[in-house]
Amino acid sequence: MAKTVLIVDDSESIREVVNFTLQNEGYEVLVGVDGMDALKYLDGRTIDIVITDLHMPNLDGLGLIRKVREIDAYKHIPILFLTTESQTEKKMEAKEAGATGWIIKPFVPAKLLSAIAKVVR
Amino acid sequence: MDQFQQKFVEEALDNVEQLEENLFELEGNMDSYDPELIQRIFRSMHTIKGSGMMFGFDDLSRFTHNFETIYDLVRNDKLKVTKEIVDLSFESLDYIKKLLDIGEGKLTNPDDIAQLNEFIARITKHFPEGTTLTKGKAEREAEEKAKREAEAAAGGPKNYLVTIEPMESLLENGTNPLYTVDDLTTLGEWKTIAFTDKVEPFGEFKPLAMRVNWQVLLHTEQDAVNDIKDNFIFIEDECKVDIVNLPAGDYIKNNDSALDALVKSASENNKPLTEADFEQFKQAAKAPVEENKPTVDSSSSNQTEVKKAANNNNAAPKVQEAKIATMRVASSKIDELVNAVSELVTMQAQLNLLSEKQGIPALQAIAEQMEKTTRTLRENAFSLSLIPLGGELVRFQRLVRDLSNNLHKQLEFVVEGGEIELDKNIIEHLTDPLMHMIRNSGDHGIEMPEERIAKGKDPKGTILLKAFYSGSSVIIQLSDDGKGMDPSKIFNKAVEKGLVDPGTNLTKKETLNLIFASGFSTAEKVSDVSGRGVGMDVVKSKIAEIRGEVSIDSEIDKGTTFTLDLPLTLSIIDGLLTKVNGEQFIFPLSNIDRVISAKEVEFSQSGVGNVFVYNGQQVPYIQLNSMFYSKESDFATAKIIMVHTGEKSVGIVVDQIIGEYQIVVKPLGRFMRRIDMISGASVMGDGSLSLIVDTTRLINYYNQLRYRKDTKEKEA
Repeated sequence: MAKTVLIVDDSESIREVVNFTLQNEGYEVLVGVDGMDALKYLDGRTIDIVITDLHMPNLDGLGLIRKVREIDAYKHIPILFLTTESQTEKKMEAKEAGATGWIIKPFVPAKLLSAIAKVVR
Repeated sequence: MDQFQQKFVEEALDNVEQLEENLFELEGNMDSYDPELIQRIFRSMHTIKGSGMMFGFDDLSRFTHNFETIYDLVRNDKLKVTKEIVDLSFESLDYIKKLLDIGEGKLTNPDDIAQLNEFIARITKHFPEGTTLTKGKAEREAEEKAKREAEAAAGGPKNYLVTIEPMESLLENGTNPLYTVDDLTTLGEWKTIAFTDKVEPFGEFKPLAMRVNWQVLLHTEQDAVNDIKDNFIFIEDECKVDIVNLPAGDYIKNNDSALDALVKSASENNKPLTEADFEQFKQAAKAPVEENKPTVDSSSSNQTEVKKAANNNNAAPKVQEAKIATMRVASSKIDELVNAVSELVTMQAQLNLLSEKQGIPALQAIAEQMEKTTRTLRENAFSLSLIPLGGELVRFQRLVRDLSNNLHKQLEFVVEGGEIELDKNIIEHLTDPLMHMIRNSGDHGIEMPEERIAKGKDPKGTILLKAFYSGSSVIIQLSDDGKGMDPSKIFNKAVEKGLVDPGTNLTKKETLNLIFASGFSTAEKVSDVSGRGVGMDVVKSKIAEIRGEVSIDSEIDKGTTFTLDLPLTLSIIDGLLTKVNGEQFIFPLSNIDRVISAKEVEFSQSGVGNVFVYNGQQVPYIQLNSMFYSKESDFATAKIIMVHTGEKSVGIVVDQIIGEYQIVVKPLGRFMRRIDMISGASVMGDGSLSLIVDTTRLINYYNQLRYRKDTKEKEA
């Protein structure tokens, strides 16, 4: 069965490029425009992996990661966050919050897919 | 540019606009700004930078990176917001716009590159000492590449023993260590050993506690330490990873029996292998020495406990209803929708006509219902093409800011009614004229601060933009509290330019309106800011293009007010259908004050031409019959449509009034476009055509005719 990916980013262009890449690979893709928006998908449906940006309005990536980890059904699902190389301390914070791993921006599709493959198969 | 890049540019421009707004807010509260504001600024910049890198806008992201650092410093209280920083930020936004314009890739022109570097230097100059500057991406990449090459050069086939001891909590964050182990095996020839002795007996089994350790023996064709490390990148803090170089040789690759025995014994005895176990492969003669030092178990750490505590804090959160407040739709799609709805309105009229003719009750019922639905659809479709004026206002605010800096005046831009919505096509046509008028107000209207103080005014001049609904139109007033315009000066200038006869007697209002005549410009000197050869006549004709009107009022030393009267929408209007000489003409209802019968009033000649008397007032009139067909109207049956232009009433004489209609405005073809008294045409329900009269232009045209006639008579 196709794996379901929830992507959360306030940047429409990033959402589109991630969405495009993943759908081409046969993933089911859910899209959230910010942390708050993404919460609506956490309604018990199967989500195999969450990929979220960190800087977002309403509810940022760290907040989202914490919220996801509070829901029993999603307590242990893989969560990757998008980050830029210059933010090592953010990486640690996100890991503390419960993230599984990260994808460094900028990324090419292959990099995105290999990062996902590290946590979902 | 591909579709993603285009999207990025659009989005980045939105972000820039957002940033401009935020900077204005910041500028207004430099001493007591909201920390959330800085967050917002930082976030917008970060998005531009991050996405810029994604889509190949390298120079843009390098620039934005430095720009962003400023606000990173500000939010960490390492830098104070000053006017200089705000100024620099505004300038940076302009530069970002420019870079977006250049598009993907790198700047190639050396001058441009120098400019970029110079700009970055101006930004980094504000960084407090000791700020670590992150290296450019290119630099970093070069370093990394050099490092890797050096390592590979040390190369040749290698053997490794990788020991993996995950923490107990590893599984909690969604990591599956099997994938990691699996990935290691893709690097070369391999053998793995799993140590499962710490797993609890069945009854006590804790599925979430990570109890298994692994060892992987790896033979690679070249140095792979970095590749191995990369594999653990996500879990390096939750996993003890030990990588040991083993003696060279093909023993892992070739299923060596000694190695097999070693692996088997390690697995059966749950005894991890050590470097010493491989001595035998170094020099085949040596016997293995048993010297197992147990590795430190780090499965219980403080970190784990903290995490658990945090997790227990809350029950499942209430899922809040997410709101996508706005949706981006290509404006061409909306245009298409509006077009289709317009067609539907026309067909609807046909259906109504048909159903009336046929007299079939069932058909009539359907036609009526469809009319209702069509109306709702029409209203919805049109509300889609409405956008709030507020979106454009940041540009004006920015303009006023730049003006105050360039002109050394103190200017304030105040907006009332930014939420007022207008058709996007109207707003598009409105921006340039408004920019021009604001520039004029700042340049010519508002005085220098000293001059204002001398006049007893606040040294800070105000430009007020006020928008409000009035009937079916939107009024936009742009006023300044500057020096105002002197009617006598304007009149003299107009005479000088030959625009008006010296003997003409004009009211103050008429005199002021002379500035809209083509060829008129009050600027005595052409300045940097205004006077670029665009006069107020262009403003007037631009506004007229969207069926709007512009008028002016001014008081010396009090200020000047421009009033724009604009229609709500362009494509469907409510109109009054009339007949003149058997042809159909439509007047926009919004322009009509009342309709009267010609036989009720008295017609006469006066100094200003043909007039009739209504309510004790002399009202000039225009006969469409004589304008279009060189005929006289039959005043016994004719009707007069009273319309207003500015504050004046004018009567337009037509033969017959048919009724009110929803009119779909279609542009006239190429050959008729220059007839500006007619703003368009519409197809009626029965398929016949009607022409839509632009009353303002009709009246202007009539006045011009009259003026020419007057001067000819005088000359004769």
